[in-house]
Amino acid sequence: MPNARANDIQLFYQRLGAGSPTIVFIHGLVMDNLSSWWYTVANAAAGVADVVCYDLRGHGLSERPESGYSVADSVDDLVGLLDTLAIDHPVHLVGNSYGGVVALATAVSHPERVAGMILVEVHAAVESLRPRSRRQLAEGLDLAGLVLDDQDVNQWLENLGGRKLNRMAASAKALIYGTTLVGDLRESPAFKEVDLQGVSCPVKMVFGEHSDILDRAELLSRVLPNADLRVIEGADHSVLMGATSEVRALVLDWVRAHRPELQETEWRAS
Amino acid sequence: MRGDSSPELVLEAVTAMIGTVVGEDYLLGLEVGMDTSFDQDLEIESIEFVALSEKLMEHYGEQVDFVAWLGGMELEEIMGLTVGRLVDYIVSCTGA
Repeated sequence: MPNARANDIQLFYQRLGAGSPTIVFIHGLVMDNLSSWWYTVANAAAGVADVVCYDLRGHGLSERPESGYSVADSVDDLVGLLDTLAIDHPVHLVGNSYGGVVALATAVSHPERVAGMILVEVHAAVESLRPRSRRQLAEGLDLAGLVLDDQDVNQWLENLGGRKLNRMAASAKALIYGTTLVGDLRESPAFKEVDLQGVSCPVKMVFGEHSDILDRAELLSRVLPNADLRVIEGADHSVLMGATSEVRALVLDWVRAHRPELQETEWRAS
Repeated sequence: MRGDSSPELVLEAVTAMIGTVVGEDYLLGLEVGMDTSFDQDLEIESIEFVALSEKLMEHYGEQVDFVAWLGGMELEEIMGLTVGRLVDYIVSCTGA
């Protein structure tokens, strides 16, 4: 099993495909792991790019230490993973929900490591958002992890069999009650507009038309200097699962746009 | 590994690998056959399926390109995969 020692913990990862550019997929919080990207986009992207997907600390098959769950820790884990895999060229980060937060924070603190980003439903707290939205990251986490009467969570859980549900619930409980994750995220500072204004790499933002965090899309579009927003009709926050083919097409288009040496015939064949 | 490419032997190998991923004890009460569904019957977690693919790639090497195979599938298709469809794919790659 591919595990990489990064930032003093073991992270489970998958390296797929080959060539250039390198695309790193980052998943969301608690009831998520690398498989959500692996099942939907990562394998297809591996046909045309060098692909890395990994389980965040405490998630999937990665180690679950008791502490170290702030956004800054997530950035250190990602940069540590890139170092361990000897990836020193700038990479494209593709993040879903909290994964987008990790991508954005990495672009702010390590701009030399990031060539571009696709942020799907990025759950970013920005200082200028109203106070309620600033708290929403941690509140949303509570909702997803603890309160099972939330409509979306329930609908999702209904699709799971008994064994899966039990295993995922056990894993989520261990993460929420057995680690400092919730507190660490509550303490993680919101992004400063001035920092976001310094993110010069190209950014594609993807949100669902009915997303409950569409206010972030508008703000980030305004603040990030090189961002392009795509709102997917009919989709909600679960864009990756609800509009998989659109997200996949968008990622593949992104790879094509950032791989100019790829011949059109080769692209079509892939 | 042409020697182990009959459907029966591939099924045996795949079943053994599923056992190492989900735990041998869990498989004791289940019969794994060609019609067994990963999602509905085995209730395998998606991250376990990723782990299984890793084992398959280690076992069969480059002759079986799971990444390309899965990359061409829609999410629903992967979720509906049976053991038999996987075995047939491996057999088609390894050839008798």
